[in-house]
Amino acid sequence: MVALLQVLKSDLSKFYDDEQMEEPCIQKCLDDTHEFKTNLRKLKAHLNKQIQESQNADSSTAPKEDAKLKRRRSLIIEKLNKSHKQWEHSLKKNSKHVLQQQNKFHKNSLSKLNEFSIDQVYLNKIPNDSKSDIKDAIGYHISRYNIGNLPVSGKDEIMQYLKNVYGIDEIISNKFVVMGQIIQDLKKNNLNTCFQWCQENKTTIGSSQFSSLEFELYFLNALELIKVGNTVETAKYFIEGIPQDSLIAIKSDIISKVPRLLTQVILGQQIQDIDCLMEEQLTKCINLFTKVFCEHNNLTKDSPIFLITLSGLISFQYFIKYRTIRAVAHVDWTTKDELPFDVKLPDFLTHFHPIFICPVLKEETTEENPPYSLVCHHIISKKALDKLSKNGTITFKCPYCPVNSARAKTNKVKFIGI
Amino acid sequence: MKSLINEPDMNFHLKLNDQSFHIPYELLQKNIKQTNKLIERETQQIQENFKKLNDSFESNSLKGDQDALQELNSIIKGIDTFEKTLKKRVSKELEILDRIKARVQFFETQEQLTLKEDRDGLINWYQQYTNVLIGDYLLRNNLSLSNKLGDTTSKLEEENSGVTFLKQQHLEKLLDYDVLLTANKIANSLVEFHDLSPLLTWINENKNYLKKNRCTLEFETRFQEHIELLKKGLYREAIDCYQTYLIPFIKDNFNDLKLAAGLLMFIQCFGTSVFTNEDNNLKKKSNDNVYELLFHKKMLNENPNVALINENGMKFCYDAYDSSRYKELLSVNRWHSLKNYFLKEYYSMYGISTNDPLLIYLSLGISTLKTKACLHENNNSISTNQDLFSYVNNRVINNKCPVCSDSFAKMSESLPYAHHTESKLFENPIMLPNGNIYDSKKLKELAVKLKESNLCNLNENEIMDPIDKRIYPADEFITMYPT
Ligand SMILES: [Zn+2]
Ligand SMILES: [Zn+2]
Repeated sequence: MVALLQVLKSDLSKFYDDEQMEEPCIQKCLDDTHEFKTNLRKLKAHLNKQIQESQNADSSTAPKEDAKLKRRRSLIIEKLNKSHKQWEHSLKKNSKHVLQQQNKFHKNSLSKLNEFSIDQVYLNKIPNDSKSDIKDAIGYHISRYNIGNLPVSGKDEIMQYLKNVYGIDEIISNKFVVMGQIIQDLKKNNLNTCFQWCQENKTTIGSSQFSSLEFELYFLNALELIKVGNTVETAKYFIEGIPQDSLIAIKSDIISKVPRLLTQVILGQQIQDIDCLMEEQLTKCINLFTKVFCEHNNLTKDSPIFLITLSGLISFQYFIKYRTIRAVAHVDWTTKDELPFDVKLPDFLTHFHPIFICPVLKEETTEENPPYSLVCHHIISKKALDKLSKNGTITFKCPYCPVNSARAKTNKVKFIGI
Repeated sequence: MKSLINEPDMNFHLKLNDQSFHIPYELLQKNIKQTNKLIERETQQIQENFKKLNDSFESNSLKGDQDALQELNSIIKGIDTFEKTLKKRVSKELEILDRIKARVQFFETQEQLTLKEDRDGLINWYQQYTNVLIGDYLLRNNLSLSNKLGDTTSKLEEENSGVTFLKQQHLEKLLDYDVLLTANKIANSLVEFHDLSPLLTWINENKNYLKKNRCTLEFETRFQEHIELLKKGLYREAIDCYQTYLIPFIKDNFNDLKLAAGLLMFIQCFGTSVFTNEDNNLKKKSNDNVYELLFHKKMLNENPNVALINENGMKFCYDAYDSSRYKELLSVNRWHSLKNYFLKEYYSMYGISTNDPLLIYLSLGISTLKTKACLHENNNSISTNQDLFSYVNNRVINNKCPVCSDSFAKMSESLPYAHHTESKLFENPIMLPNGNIYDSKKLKELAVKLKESNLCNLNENEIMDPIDKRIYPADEFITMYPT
């Protein structure tokens, strides 16, 4: 299967004249026109001079002068027409070339992308009256991810802005205002608010997270000082600035990162890619802070709308494949309320609820069909239990082991994830 | 390339987003066609000018040369103007190519992250992807903010929250919001302001496409224009409109033209109220009698002579008096149908999906995540110890499932469940005497935390069931074997 991204890239590069892809081919039309204009202006000046000289010339002018004038004149005419022809030819050629490029782009790349339309899998529509729920979900998402990018700071201004521009309710935006403000400060190189927040909110429960965060902040600060360049200040901070709790909690991190950098600083060496390092560290701090903040305030770190969208994207190819099969084989979903295929999701999307599949009937247990524990502590669904025990009339052998059970001796169970 | 979070391969990503490459392609096509027209015109013009120029030179006289100089002057001026116009076209081309470049780079980033096996970075990338979808949704659905006529494009951009969001996230090059905003503007002008001019402008600019697809949008628009003129009582203009714009479509839209003519008739005679009030007097008379009454002629039943109708300003009536059909013509709903028709054509021209992409992803995602355990309350028994209750509620048995979350619970009810063939359970499953099965390790850790924060009085080797708050000794654990 051809790598479409490569094809796209290569077709795209053909629209440009240069390697860096900054000058589009069509620019040439403009350049040629400009050159043409300049030429014309030059020739106009020559012609002007020519006319003046002709005017001044009279019968007394030597024939040699006369001939020179005549030659110059024909030269001007020749150049004018040549310039014109060149320009016209180049313009037409170039514009035709660009059109050809575009058609090739369509034939080569675009047509290959057009395999399906996403509308085709939209069979279970989101009900129309969900609009306000979606609005709330988007509001949560924007509060979670966008406050750091807003042009206003200050708690009230932020909440007002979110209300006015995005229609976000204060109840939702309130959850993330403080976090957003601290992120804004981090981006502006102000680490104090973050440090302060750590101090104020440290609890014994989950303190290792806070120590990690404090260490990363300390490291970011150190990098900033390195950039500033005052060796003594920097070295001093390196040694004295380590957050107390970090010393105990994350010794290994400290050992791996600090001494090497500190040595470089003391020796006065240039740290390479300091900007890159700083950017990486800033992102790290923001991510870690977000994680700690959300956990501390009992908020989901990833917004529901994002997790659902991601799941949708992962499942898309199954839906498309199924639709093709359905169209060809004229089969349809046997159970209207369950998808006809199994989508493999990554762990962080499946750990929300425990899922138990009855080994006998191979279906998921539900409230109506709950799991039951047998005498041997193997588990099957109620429907399977009824079936195997012939509605409680006989004892039966467990599908996993040789132990016999009677329905009366079984217990309803419930899987609870904590 | 190995997938990190079960995501599809790059080719699939691109096919999923073919819109983001197709739309700029359409814009490029438009731009280059306009540019080529411009170049065609200009080269033609300059050719003529040069002919004049050369003719002047032919005469080989001083006067001729002076004329040539004049001509040359005007040529230079013309080229100058041409250059300025051309520059705009070239900038537009560059800007559109820039969009494609940004999108290619965006997907390249995904590839690099997958190569580096940077899981967190990849998840971050998908969060950006989600932002583009959200921006698109906000753009399309944000008609509440002012969209007044005469709003310049930049004002529209400023006020649309979708555009604002994309810009704040630095994702504005990944979505063709200008195309969507134009659709919004025209759609809004139809439904909010009952103004046909933006639509007519658009139809004019895209005549070729509409003709190629045998679209009747122009006819429907002119029809609406005719109706609006009638509503305002501008009969002269209505007739002009009919003759100029509707008659050309008579072959395919004969019935509609009949209706239009009939409408003119009745409105002229009775005003628009005849269709809004239940005028029982008129209803009592039979159809034919009405005609006789109006025109002192019997109703014509065969196909009328259209030319004759034209000539006489439609003094003949030739169809049944069916107030429901005429009422329909006057209803406000026609504006909504016209808007929907327009959007259908507009979207299909650019290859934009009819449904909001965000909703499609949500529908798929909810079903993929919805388990049989979703949307059920997990009974956390209330205890007298308020602190304990809130701790358990917030930290122990809190449901973080997105499908179960407030915003999505209701809409998820009607969507299908996911299909599972494999169990997904925690480790070390043990059963308590009350039938609840937990991860024994987590239960023990919970006991430690409860003791540490003094939320519950537990002895050594005792644990608390978070649901019913009862205390059980750890040696009453029964190991379970669910798989
Ligand atoms: Zn067994
Ligand atoms: Zn759920």
